[in-house]
Amino acid sequence: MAAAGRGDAAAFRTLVDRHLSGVLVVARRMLRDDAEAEDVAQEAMLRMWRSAENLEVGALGLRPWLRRVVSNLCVDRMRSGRRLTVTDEVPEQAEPATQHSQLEAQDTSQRVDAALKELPDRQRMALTLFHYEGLSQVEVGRIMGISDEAVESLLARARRTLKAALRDELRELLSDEQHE
Amino acid sequence: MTKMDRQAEDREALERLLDIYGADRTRWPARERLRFASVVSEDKAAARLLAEADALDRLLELAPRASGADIDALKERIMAAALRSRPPQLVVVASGKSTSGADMAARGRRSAFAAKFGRGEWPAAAMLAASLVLGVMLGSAGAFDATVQEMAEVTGLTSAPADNSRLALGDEIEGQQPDEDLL
Repeated sequence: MAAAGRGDAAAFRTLVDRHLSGVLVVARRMLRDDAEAEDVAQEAMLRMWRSAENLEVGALGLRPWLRRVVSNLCVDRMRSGRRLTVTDEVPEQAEPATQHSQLEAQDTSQRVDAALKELPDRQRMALTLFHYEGLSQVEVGRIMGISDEAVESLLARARRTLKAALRDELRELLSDEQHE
Repeated sequence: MTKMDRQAEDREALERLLDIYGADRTRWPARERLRFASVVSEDKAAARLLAEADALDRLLELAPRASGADIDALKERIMAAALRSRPPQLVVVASGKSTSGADMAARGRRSAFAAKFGRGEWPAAAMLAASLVLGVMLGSAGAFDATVQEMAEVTGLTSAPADNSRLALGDEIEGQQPDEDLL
């Protein structure tokens, strides 16, 4: 981090390699559009580059700072309404699936992704921060600027919506387990 | 309140808890963990609720992450944007006065040429001859003046003060290729 603060591009590249994937995943889950998520991820990385000289890195590393920046950028995007509409384009796969089970898993993955994208913005953000980022309810509330009770409400509504949207997948999962 | 009423009430409370926190008990508030441990073990319907919440958590884990191809392209864009916004610093490796990053960035191109060919390593006459050839080639492109200036400085035919330190260059200087052959 110190090296990046002195303008060491190689050091910055190392930080990008280490953190970009996690940042991108969070942004994608918060925003409905992959292009918007990439813009947010890029901006977060560039802010890290510009701030590197003055950034104090605590015991937990850069992740809490990056998470805060990404969340704020996503909130700004949601408020400004600059989101693009989600297309029906299927995301490209790195390798073609050759087995039926792999195809099924990819299909399920896409349906889960679609269900997440259908959630209202604040529900999706609360769920992303709590479930995927592992933040506490208090931390989520701090980032989103809302009370603990409001966080609870968002999480509960998000899960109920997802349970309804993924009803078939849940039923399949539970019946598979009963047969085992 | 009968036992059935109490169980129904506990199931409702458990369902609200699961809706908020999911099935991972480590995410539940501490006071709730103890309360509902016995509820789940004694009530099959409550156990079923927990299993459903666990299934949802596992489905959520199936949401796709970023693909490798997406990330690699994004990394390149980020690096390009970072280097445009703040050029990397040059590091003085020999003893002597260090030079500010802003100074070095401004003199980056001239320094790259000096590092490649060195001062006094090539006869001045040969350099001047080469500059004439290059001048003919570059004259129409309008780069003549800048190139001749660079050549003159390398051969010492410039008023710029002598600098005893050699500059080590990182390979991230924008637009520069260390092995670029200018002749």
